[in-house]
Amino acid sequence: MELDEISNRLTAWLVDDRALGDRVTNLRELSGGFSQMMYAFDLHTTGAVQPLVLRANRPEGQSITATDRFAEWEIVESLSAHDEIPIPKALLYDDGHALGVPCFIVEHVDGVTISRHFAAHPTEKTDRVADMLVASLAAIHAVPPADLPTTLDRPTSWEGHIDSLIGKWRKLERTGLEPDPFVRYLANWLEANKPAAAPMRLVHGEVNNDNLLICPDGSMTVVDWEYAHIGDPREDLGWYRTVSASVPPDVMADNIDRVCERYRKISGLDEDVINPTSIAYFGLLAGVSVYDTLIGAPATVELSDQAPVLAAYMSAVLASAQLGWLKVIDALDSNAVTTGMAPS
Amino acid sequence: MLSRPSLSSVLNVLSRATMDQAQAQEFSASSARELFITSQMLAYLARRAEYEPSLMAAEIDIYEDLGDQVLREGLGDTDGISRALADLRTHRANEGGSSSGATAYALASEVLCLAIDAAFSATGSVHDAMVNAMRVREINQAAIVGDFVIGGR
Repeated sequence: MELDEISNRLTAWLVDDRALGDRVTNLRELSGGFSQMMYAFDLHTTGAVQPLVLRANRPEGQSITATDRFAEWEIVESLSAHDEIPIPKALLYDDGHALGVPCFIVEHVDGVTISRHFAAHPTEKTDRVADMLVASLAAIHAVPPADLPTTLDRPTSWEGHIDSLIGKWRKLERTGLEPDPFVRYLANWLEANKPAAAPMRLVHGEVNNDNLLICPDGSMTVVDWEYAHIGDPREDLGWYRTVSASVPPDVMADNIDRVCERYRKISGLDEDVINPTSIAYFGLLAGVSVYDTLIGAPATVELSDQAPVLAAYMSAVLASAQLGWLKVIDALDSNAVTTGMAPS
Repeated sequence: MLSRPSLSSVLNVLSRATMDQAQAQEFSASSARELFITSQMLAYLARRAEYEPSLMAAEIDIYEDLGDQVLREGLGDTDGISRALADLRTHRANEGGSSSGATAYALASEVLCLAIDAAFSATGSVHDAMVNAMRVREINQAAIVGDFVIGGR
């Protein structure tokens, strides 16, 4: 869909149907968001301009993921009631009537991603951002499950949740175009090396340097909630480290003991639960959601030469990710993770 | 290694996408990202084309030997491993003993998967052979991945 058409449809939705403003201007595509379409725009009302962000499903055939926009909206909307949660406030949802695809609108946050922040300040120490990240994640993980949408799955036990994630690795591996010994090895390793249990919490599910915004006032905002679920809070801590090995910087790498200590202090969890080794374990375990995205890519490419380039790209990402998983396992088997080394 | 999607199917997608960008009315942020990852993919495909056939052939022999070793030890799903080895050998016989190609590699990889399940918690030479097979696969895949880095956002 061209920008002009999106702008016209937004105007019809927000101005004509909902009477929320006078006009829509300055629509531009936001970089990032491999999976969903994201656009920033301004909604003009009398004497004011409200900067907003549209988050929408890609049209059928162009998407590489199949996450539920309404489920994401429900979480964003429920968290918007919590001032302590660093999230763009939810404004409006549409099931496809307005743009032809499910979408929602949130407030625009004036900030830069961690990736871009450190690209602009390559010599800056990472400890300040690591502290912000810990505080943000601890706040998210402290949300009472009762405050979350009732439609969100609630694991009945920690053991069952971990087993289901390992089982998901195994099940997904069977859906690929070819057997994947790396994943089979990983699943066996995860079963043999479970850490101490933790309480079930809200988990963002895709914490990475492109989903974390540093705002001018020094605060942090967390975006892209499509993989949010109730699980083990170390899934977020661990996944951040794993993905940051490929998309640096890993702001926890030079501060891992400090990160663990601060997180323990805020959350009240013990050292046998929050430590570098358990975080690395969850970096592997939590990767199953991304594996879910990657595993279908080869079939998508082979089915049609109209497949998105991203699908072809994902096959290379998977090959690279597999090597990363093995390096983390090697580091854990040799106890190298406790020294604070990055899993890469 | 990942032998799928096939080289030809990836090249078809990249060719079409490059043509789309050449004909686009305007050059956007997504256009830049698409061309960036297309260039990465072309380099990645070049390595696959150059190295994959010989590396796959070497791995297939290693996985077949490992499967036989697991069977001799009577570990794991012996019926499954027997079937997987038979499938691999039947395929190779039909292909005139060839150890190349994605199908042979996939059948051999299934043998390795079953051997991992069987030998992961075992001790001794079978476990060591399984770990060695994984190490070979890792080294070969690293050669293919090369300097590919996730980026383009």
